[in-house]
Amino acid sequence: MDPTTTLPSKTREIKIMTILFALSAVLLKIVFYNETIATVASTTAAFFWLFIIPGYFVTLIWKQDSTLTERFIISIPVSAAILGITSYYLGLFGLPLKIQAWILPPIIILISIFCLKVKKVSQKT
Amino acid sequence: MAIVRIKETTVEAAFLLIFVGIMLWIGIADTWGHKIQHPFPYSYLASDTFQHQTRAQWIKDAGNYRYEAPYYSAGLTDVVGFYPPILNHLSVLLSYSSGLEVYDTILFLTVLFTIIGMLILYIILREWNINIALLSLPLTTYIFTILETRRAFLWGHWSALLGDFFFVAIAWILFNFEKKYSAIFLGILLSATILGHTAATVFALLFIIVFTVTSLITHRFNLVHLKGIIIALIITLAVSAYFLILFKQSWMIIYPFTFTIETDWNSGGGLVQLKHFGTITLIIMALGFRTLLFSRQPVFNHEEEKGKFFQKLFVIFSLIAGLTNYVGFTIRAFNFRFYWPITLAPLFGIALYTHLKSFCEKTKLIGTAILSLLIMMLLIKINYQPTDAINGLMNQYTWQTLAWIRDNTPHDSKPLFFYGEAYDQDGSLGNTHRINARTEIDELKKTLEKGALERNYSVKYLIEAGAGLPYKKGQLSYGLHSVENNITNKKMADLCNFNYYIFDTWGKNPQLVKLNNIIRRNLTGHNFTKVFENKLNIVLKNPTPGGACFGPNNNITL
Repeated sequence: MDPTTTLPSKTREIKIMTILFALSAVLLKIVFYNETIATVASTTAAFFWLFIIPGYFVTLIWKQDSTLTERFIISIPVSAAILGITSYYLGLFGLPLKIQAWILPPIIILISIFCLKVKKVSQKT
Repeated sequence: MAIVRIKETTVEAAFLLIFVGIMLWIGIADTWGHKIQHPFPYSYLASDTFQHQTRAQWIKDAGNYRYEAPYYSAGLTDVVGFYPPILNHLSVLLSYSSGLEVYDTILFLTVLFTIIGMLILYIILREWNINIALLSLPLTTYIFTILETRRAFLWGHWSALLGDFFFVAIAWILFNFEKKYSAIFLGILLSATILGHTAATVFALLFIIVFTVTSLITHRFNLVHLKGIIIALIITLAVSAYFLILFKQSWMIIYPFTFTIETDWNSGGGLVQLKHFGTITLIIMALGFRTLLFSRQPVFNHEEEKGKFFQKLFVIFSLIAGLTNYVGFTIRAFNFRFYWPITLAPLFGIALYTHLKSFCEKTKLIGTAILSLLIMMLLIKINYQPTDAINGLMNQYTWQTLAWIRDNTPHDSKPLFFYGEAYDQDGSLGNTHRINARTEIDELKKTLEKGALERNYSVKYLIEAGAGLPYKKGQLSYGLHSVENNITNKKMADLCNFNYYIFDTWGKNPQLVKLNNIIRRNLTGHNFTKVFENKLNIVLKNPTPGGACFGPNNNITL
């Protein structure tokens, strides 16, 4: 399948990711049927927050030659690696993990967006 | 065409969702009673599981991993955090983000990452042939049905599983090395193996070398790609230098690598062998292997050629890597074998596709997807033993007692655990957050035979001294407490010199329960007070540690 002929926009991809989030929550609720909806929802949200959303923005660098399916899946080990490594070192430097859980994902996202913008600008020039 | 493409995407997405659901069901949901949140560490079947859990909990409590917890480090406060940190950190981050306890997130993540590992293999194969990708996935169910791999999850080989997960991700990066900035991602993922499970780095590096050399010889790689590999290695060294220096001066001294042939692994829960796949599955895999190596089918495009080349390399490497215990890679080869149901899955898909090609082509994607699901369900029906919820070694009463000690006793108090079913795999006792000791079942049985309990008695302390208890000597140099100070966890102790005494009131060995009761009555006769009780445990407090708590001959006659 040639991804470049069916290149969805970022907005469309975000819509698809939102649907995937909802479907993941439903799937988790089906599998863990004895669990409360609140716990299922918070677990799904936390997993997306840490392992999918940051990785999605990091792997946007490959948007031109990878499908969303591929980037969605590979974003997880990429997120896990980046988060795990930075969390370890930031902890050694004194930033508590309690704070890291909330600020690391947006920092990774912002750095990724910044790098993409810089790349775009350098391509234009 | 656009409508057909959309439908195929939907079919694929639906298939993958169902697949993930099935894997979660057999991988963790059954043993967890189909709940995510539990009142205590659930389905933990060995001490190692608690070792990881208590370490992750310590990191959460401390907010960082500068040091190990004193309460499992012989009371030392300067032991630097020496265990590969990634899994623990991710578990803590997920705990904070989700509200779940660390003892749930750590096992949940291990299972979830394994399932993602299956999906990573899928996207590697998908680029080659989506039908082979779909038909390969049923073999991955074996990771949750082979007893020895199942034990990897329930006995605590979590770091090894994480290392294997990053190995598969590295395979994807190499397969897609022409993508921009792949060198950076390769460097990050290789660093993740060092900080996740350092033994996995050896296999990852070997695969990178084999892949690079083969690609250079077959002109798939040029100097630009080679430059990328070198950049990746430089990034890896830069990112992991701190931990590698610590690793070299701690783990590599306590466990220097020697080429030793290992053919058994009882202490680890057994080793995965090819025969565990069953005869019919093995025959299918063998057919796939023959097709992969010797097929003379024409190759029509670059993707197909690239896919075939990579799969030959990946599968042969995975098979040989898992067998390197026979050439001296010791139990590390067995760690790699945990992922055989994933890394050897292409053989299954290739064999099925070769013989069902016309069916796949006639029924399009939906036919192959349904066939794959049916084969999956068949393999699960044959191989999977459904379980009720498995508590594991912990139970609500012991957990309550450990929590009571943690929350209600002075930080420097010393608990002593007598006979209890949960205590032999003593990693769980770290949850008291105290330097605790326990009596061992074998010693208690000898005591029963002797007919008398001596005041001076052999006890075992919980000391996680895996890497020798390293401490900082200089900026980048470390000493080892366990070597320099001869720290051992088993020693003779004065049974009257502890602060709190914990007794189980029932267990599988009625003789030892009776012994508990005799000791408890004796201590109560020496003014020990009951400070906590539940349906399983009684906790006594010693009013004068070091004072008299035994009879005039310093023993208790049984």
